[in-house]
Amino acid sequence: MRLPHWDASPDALRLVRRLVFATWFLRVAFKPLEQLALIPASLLQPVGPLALLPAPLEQLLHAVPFLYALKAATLLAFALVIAGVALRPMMVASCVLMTVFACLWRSFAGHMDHESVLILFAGYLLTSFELADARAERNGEVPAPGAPTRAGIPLTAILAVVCLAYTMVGVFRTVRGTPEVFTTNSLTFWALRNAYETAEPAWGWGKYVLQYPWLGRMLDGGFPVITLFELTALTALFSRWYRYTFLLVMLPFHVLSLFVLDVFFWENMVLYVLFFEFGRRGVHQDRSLALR
Amino acid sequence: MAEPGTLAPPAAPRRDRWRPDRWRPDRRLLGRLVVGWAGTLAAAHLFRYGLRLPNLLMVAESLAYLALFAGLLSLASMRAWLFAIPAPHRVALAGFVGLVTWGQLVVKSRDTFPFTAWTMYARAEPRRLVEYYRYHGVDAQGRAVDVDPADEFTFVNSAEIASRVKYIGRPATTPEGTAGREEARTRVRDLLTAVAAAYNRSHPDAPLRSLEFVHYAWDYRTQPLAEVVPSPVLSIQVTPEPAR
Repeated sequence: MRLPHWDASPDALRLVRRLVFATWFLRVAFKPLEQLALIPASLLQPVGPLALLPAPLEQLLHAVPFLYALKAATLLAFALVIAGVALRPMMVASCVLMTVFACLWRSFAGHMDHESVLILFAGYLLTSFELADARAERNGEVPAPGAPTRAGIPLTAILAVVCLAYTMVGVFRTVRGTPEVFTTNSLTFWALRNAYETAEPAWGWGKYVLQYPWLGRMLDGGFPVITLFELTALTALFSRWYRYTFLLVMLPFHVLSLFVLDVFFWENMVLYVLFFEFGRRGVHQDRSLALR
Repeated sequence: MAEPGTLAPPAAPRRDRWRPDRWRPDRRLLGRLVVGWAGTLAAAHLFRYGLRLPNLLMVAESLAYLALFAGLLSLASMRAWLFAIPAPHRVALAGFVGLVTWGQLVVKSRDTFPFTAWTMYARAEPRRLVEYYRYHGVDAQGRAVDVDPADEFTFVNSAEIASRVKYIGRPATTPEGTAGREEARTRVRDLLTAVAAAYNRSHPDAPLRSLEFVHYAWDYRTQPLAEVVPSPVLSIQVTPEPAR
């Protein structure tokens, strides 16, 4: 048995790379980061590596000219990656710029939500593996016949990390929240909270969980099922049928989350493309390899 | 079978590694995993708690990841992939997974970003109080307007704004004399000033003259929504910006 994307082609890697960096591009292009300059310093809290900067330097990052320059440089770097120009240096530059961009916008956020985090990870992994390719080439390591293709390695790794993130959600909930989180209609509360916390939620169906109790029951009843799929997400590495079942469960869950919980991370869902195998299925090869 | 890579040979016989998902733990590999796990746990604990006594919940959660990773690495197909990829790729992946796990164990996503903790819907809210805030303004024509900061600051999503407002709103609504209250009220005032300025830029024909920050607390189990009493926290008068 082989892990998914074992023999993915360079074309597949190029497609996924373009998908990831195009998603980054859209995320940055449609984020008016210059508005950050309107926020008083008392409401900002530095995030991640930016917290290590001295305060005066950190404040310089909130100046309108810097924010515009950052956005322009970031979009240029992404565009060059998508076009395949100076790929490795541009990928590294993109990762650095995107990290600064993401840290800056989140400095006004109260909690770190997971918008774009998985797609950020995907970009980091693609870049890390590009650098690892360079290192392996320098070391004279040649892909052996039958080994995963260089194109397939990052795709499998991204799929594994996406699944790991789901598993971590399930493990955290199980270790830290069980049993209260499942026995106290907690999703009913969160649906209400999310619907009222924002003045104009995108959909706000969470407001109806009291009016239509079946909606609350559906949420609370589905919660352990979703948690089970989260806990077992890494099975997607070993079973095609699990991958499809996972998508059948998780896609409606995420769409329902948009309507009821007002949470939707479309950028992360772009990575669901990796649940479909790139490259040849190679069943006969698997068998022949297993028999040797 | 062809040599899967030019890398360190696996402990298990090579032909076994290609069989469909055989369970075969590799002691050498698991030994390395335990070292990596201990290092990650120690780093997370030091980062979060310093040199204090071990936090049992963090240790319990890390043990779950140790079991998970040990299980994964005991599957033949996983090991076949891992041993067949070049060493630099293996190091990159191991380092990345280590960082993701570290961020998960620390549970201080602001400090560990981009390696955030994945904690969605994991903690029951004991108070069961739906708290929210609204912004009631009066414009230059004397009309009452509802202002939504999410409309004015679109570089963050509405949930991110709501969580920021919650963090400063809660201490601002505590009884007088409570530690942190005045500081929080100053922040609320700063927030109102920024929201009003942004609103006035986008509504130059009907700028705000005042803006009020109102707190709502709804115990949905015992109280109809219509009976929730709004609690004004504070309001500001908005001075018009001089014409440029």
